[in-house]
Amino acid sequence: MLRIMGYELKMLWRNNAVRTVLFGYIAAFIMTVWVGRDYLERELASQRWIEKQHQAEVQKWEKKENIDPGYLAYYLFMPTFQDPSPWSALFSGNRKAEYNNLRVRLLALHGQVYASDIQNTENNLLGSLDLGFLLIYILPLIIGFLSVNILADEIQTGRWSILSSQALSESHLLLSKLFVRFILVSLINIALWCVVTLWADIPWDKHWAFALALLQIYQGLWFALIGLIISWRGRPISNSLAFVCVWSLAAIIIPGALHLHTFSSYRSTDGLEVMIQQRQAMNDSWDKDRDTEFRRFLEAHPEWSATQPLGPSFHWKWYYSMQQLSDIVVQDAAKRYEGSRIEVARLTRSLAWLSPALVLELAWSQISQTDLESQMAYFRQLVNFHEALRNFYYPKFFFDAPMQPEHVKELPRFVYSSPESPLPWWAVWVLLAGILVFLMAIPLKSVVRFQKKPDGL
Amino acid sequence: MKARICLHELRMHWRSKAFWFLFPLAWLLTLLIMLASWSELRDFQSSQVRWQQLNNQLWEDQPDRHPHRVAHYGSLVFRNPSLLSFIDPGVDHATGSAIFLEAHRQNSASFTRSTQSQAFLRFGSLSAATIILILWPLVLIVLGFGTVSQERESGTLKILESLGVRLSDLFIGKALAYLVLSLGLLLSVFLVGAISLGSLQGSVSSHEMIRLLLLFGLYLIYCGLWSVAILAVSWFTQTPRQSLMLLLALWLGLVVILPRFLTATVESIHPYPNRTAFDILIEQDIVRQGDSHDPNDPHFDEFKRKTLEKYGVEKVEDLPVNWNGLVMAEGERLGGEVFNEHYKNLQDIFTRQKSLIAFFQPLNPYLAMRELSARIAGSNAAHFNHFEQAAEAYRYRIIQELNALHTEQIHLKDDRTQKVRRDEWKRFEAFSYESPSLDWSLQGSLASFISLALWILLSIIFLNGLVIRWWRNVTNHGL
Repeated sequence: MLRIMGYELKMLWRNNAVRTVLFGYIAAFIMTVWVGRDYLERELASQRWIEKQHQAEVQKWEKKENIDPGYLAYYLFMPTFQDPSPWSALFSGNRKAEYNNLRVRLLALHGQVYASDIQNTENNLLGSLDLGFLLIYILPLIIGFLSVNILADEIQTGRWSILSSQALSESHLLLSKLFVRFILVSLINIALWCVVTLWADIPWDKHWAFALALLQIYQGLWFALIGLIISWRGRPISNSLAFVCVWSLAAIIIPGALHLHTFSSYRSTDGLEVMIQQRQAMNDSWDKDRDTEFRRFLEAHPEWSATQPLGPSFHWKWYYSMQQLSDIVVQDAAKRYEGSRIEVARLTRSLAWLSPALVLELAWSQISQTDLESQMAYFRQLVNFHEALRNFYYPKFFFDAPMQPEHVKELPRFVYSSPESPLPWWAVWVLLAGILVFLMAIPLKSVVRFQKKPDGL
Repeated sequence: MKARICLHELRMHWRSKAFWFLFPLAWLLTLLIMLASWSELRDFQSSQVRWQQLNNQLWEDQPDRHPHRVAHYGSLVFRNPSLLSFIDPGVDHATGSAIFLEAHRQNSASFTRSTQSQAFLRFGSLSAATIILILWPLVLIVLGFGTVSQERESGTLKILESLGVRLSDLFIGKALAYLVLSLGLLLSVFLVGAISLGSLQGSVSSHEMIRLLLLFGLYLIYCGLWSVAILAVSWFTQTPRQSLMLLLALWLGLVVILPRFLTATVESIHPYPNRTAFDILIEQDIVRQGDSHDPNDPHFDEFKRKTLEKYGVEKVEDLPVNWNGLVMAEGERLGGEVFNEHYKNLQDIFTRQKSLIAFFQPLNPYLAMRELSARIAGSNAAHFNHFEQAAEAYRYRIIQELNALHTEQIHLKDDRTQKVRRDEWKRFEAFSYESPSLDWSLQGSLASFISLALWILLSIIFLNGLVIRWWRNVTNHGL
């Protein structure tokens, strides 16, 4: 058995096409990681720059002789940042498509958080590249290239009968051939994975092991598919065609069709409703009776109701409470909008099992915290941060708490705490189930036939 | 002879299982996807129109208000995607669908329609264009990889040559067969497309029909180029298996891998700021040039001096117009200028990225096709920017009109407590947007057309058998 495997390995190594493909793969692996690291580093550098500008701005306010907290709250934007996990350099998930460094100020929150980040959308059209893409879509093609014709080729060259006459059975031979290829691909991937871990500062923790294990199972799934195709004993060409068909189904057609399907359940109009309602509420408050509107706010937030009644002139406490009141007015619409996004995430998850590529995409984006759930967590933390801002400013507006330039330092800071995401065990089960299905689909007849010694093909 | 070869090739496919599996599948998929996108587009358009009407109504219904209040109330514009985006949605799903226009700020478009799992979008949103540009070549490869190498392997190629069949006849006949197959797909798809377009618009506009025809022509050329590529690879390889492997590698390289490596590389070579950094840069520049909210700002000191001089008065209280309104207008002018400059810089970065990618168009017709297809469909980034700029121009106009009202109808004393009569709001023109003409859409696409023309020329040379004759002379290589 070992002898056969050693021989196989030698054969593979001597094949120019195989060598070219494998070296190309390794080069692509390094290139994609480099691209991802480069993007991550730019992201961090840009955030450091933003932070520096913010500090300069804060210092300007600190140097003033006296500060009107109302103006401070109006002009001073507070930076926030959804700190990327080092994994995001490898599996970008949704991160590039989302706005994850919003600046907020004390104005109504829902008026500030739905902007979209700058993107060269034209590049999206041609597709984006990360390690995830290489592993999920290109690796299966390489596996197919290495293995789908192991039987058909040997039969065609007439080597099969010679080879199998020396071995115990066809199945032994075939399994060892497949096993050599699996080990080869696995070893290359594990080695590269370790290099990347060091390079991208990824901790050697359970997530690391889990993500790697997922990759091994995913490879296993494609090898199981190849086993199934081989068992049909087709000609080399029909094997290749069958493999390409399955690949395009898993990589292009199923995800595309699901996108169209989930697209219809995402209603951007819920978001528009938030925008329109809020602007209406906020501006109408200037035309309504100030005392009544202010009382409405105090009823909703009795913690501030001990404040003095409004005087005849403009007061910041009225201004900002009207901003907050408009947030309260749009609460329901905002919930609906959030709900439709959660629904899309749920739908995505519940349909992902249809394609192994999607399973791995979602599982890895969960580990790299680039999934929709992480984005939602960031959003919830933004909401809390806005509340902290209010708790800083409101005593100054409502209870005339003193505001000195040195108090600017005490402004709350946004610190993203990444949610403890559970390991995506579901992906393991789905992929294992896929392997099982492929193995069970192998016709019993051909298994029996493989068990026997060949009768001189 | 050509026609007979073509017919023979078609008859062969007619009898094959692969054809009866793949062709109806591709055909059905394209039609279904197109119809689904069409109905989605129709719903989206009518909802956008409704929102725009609601917004305009709300604007007119405003009570008596201070003009600056109205400037903060602002307006919303809703983007209607190009009609042909149901065939090629281009960047449509990645761009926001509404822009909030208000004083002092240029907001980005909010609510992109694809804030959802990118996992589904690795190969772009599934559209007729995606299928024709990405999947159909794969179908053609699967059907035709052995078109010459099979004949060589089975020996029929030798027989054909001994019968005196000219190479050019053989090639043109075979290429025609694959073009006819593609035509079968494209004709039915575009016929349904034309009917859908007609029903979408009420009456069919000739401009859209011309674009539709152009797209049809473009895709046909694309299919033609792939047919020739398949023929060429099939001729230059010894066995059908080699042909298949080489063609699959070619497809993977041209359509899947190269475009992605290019975008990733250009984003690293020409990085652009994110929205937050972009906004901060603008704010810093505005403050540098003149901060209308700072009473001691040198720019506004100078502005004040000039204004007082112009009206021949000593202090702003003596001006016949409202000084606050003038300051607002000047601040808006400065802000607009700074924004436009930064916006242009950003677009320049995008253009640099794009031209780096365009550099590879002569090597990879797929890149040229993607580019031209989205241009003709009116759904590339340039079209979105065209809308964005129209919205910004409109924003600037209404805000300055409001500042003029502020200057002329509101008095400086007790400025904040005064209001302008509500009738004024009805006098404002509603936002109207005309999508750009075909000429505009095609501006700057000469290079893409030239690289396509080059490929067409090369294909013709190959089909004539010129390449082969030269090859044989060089290598003494028989059939």
